[in-house]
Amino acid sequence: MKPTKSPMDKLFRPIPPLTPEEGEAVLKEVAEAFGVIERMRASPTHERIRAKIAQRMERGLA
Amino acid sequence: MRDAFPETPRSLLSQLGRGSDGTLDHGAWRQFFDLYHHAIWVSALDAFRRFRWNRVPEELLEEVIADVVISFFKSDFTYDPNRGRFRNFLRQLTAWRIMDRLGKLPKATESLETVEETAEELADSRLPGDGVEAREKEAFRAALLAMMLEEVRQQVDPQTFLIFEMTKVRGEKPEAVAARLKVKRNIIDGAVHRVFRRLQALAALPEYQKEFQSWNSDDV
Repeated sequence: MKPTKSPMDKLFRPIPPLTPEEGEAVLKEVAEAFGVIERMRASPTHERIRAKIAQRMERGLA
Repeated sequence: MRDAFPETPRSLLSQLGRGSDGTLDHGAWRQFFDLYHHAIWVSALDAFRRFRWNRVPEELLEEVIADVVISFFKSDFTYDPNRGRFRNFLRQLTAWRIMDRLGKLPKATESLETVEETAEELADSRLPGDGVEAREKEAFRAALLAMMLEEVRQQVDPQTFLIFEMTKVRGEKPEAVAARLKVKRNIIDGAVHRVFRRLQALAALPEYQKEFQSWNSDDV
């Protein structure tokens, strides 16, 4: 039996086209991924590494 | 679908870190780091585990992540979408930077006994059942989806993206968003629909297609 396509599968392979519900599921997943990256960006670790990279770039070590 | 929008000459994926003339743009590392920090972090942990490092000092991990981001911009080993998936490229780069770091540690470190594999073997080998592989796939998947949304942000007007962010990322009710922005309710639906259609157009690009395939295959 052929596995059922997930909504995200259908975003990348849009035949048959996504139903409105599937479109909603895709947007939810994309928004969640975006949220994960945004939270990471706001973390102290992110800031620390970012500063480290910036410092090394400025010092010409890059 | 793709006829509905002007053709995007190169996706954000293939432009990461590069200016409009295709040369390296050193100011663009922030965008790359913002999008791929989590994926590199998971990928580095995975690589360390293959060196039998089950615990990695946070400072060492942070140094490796910084090394990866910096070498992405200075290295001659640049990403070419025609030669493979970005995910594999980044995993390889991460493995090499870990090799560099481990090579600088005191030889007395017990974990160094295993540092004999080549970087290629390191990037390709797996430890079964540690669950990191799934986390790594998820991290790269999130980075890719976020990158696509970032690309959409650059293509639509600020209000359209703000509406998407408020309703879908922050989960605010469409009615409340409409009231807050002083727009009609149908503007909200229209904005979300535009973002969705842009996402569909991006998903049709070969680079994103290729990355998407890597989620669904065992080829890690």
